Amino acid sequence: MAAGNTYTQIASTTVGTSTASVVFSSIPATYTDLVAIVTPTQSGDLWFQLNTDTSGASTNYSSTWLYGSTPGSTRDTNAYRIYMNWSSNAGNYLGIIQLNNYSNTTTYKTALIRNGMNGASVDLGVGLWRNTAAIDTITFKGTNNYGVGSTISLYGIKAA
Amino acid sequence: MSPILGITASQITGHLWAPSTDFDSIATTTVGAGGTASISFTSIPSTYKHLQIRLFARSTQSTGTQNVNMSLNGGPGSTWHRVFGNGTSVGANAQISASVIIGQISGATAASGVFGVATIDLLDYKETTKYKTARALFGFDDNNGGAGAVVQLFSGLWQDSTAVSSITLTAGTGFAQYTSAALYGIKG
Repeated sequence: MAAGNTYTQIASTTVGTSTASVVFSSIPATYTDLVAIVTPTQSGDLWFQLNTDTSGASTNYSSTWLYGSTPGSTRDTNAYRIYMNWSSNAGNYLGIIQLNNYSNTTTYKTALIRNGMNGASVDLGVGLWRNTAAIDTITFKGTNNYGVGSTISLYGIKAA
Repeated sequence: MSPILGITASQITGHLWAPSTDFDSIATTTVGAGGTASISFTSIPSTYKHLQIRLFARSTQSTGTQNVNMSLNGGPGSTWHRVFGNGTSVGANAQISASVIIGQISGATAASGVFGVATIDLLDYKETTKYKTARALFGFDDNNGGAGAVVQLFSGLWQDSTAVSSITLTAGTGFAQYTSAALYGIKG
C-alpha cells in the first residue's frame, strides 16, 4: 500500500505589516500531529493560545521549563497562555512546537517547545491546555508585535 | 483483535513496506480500553535511513511519573543519559549497564487527561557498522498538580551493530487507553 503525503504544510505566514497576533484557524482535524516553526523578527516574550481560549483571564494553561545559559527550571501555572520562550529573547528566535494528538476530544492537550535565541540561551518547555477540545485554532502573540518578515509555518503529520 | 504480521498492539494501521515519500508513516498503534502491556513495532523495513517515533502516552502504573523503557531487537540497551527540568530544579543523570530509559510520561495518579508527549529519533537504524543511539525529547505538565511534571532530553545506547528490525516500548504496568504511538521512516 503506497503512502500519501505524511508531513504536509498546512499554512505559512510571513508578516508584511507589523501585527499583534498571527492566527491559524480552521485547522483540519485530519492530521495526527501538528508542528509549528516560528521565526519572529521582534524581541520579547512569545506565547500562544488555543481555540477561543484567548482571554487574558484564562487560567487553563500551564508549562514547565528547562532553560540555559545559566541552567534552571521553572513552571508557569494557572496561566492564560503557553510561553514559547522562558529566557529573555533579544531576537533571532527560532522555535519548534510539537502538538501530538491535537484533534482528539478525550484528553488535555500537551505541547513540546524547543527554541534557541539571541541572548545565548536555549529553552525546552512542555505546555498543557486543560481542555479536551480538538485544536482548530492557534493564536500566536507576544510582548511586542510580530515584526515585518516574521514567519510562522504550520505542518500536519499524518499517521497511517 | 488478531495481531497483524509484524506489529503487535491493540489497533494497528500502517502503510506497510511501500515507502513513497521522504517522511513515511510505517505503522500506528492506538491503545484501547484496558490498556496494553507494551507497544511493539516489528518487521521494520530496512528501506529508510532513519526512524522517528511520535508518542502521546500515559502509563497504567500507579504513580505520577513513569519511566519509558525502550528495547531494540529485544535488547534492552546498555546506557542512557538525560537532562531534565521539573519546574523547580534542573539536573542530569545517567546509568551504565542498565536497560535504556528513553523518557518519562504521566502515570495513573496524574490528573485525568494529562498525557506525555515525545519524539524519539533513531538515526542510521539499519547500519551494521555502528552501535545504535536514540535521542528523545519528552515532556508532560500537570499544572503543578503533584504528578511530577518534567521536560527532558534523553539519549540511549545499544552496543549492538545489528540492523534494527523491532522496537518495543514499556512503561511499568503498561500504557493507558488513548495512548498513541506512530513509527515514521525518513528517507535519506
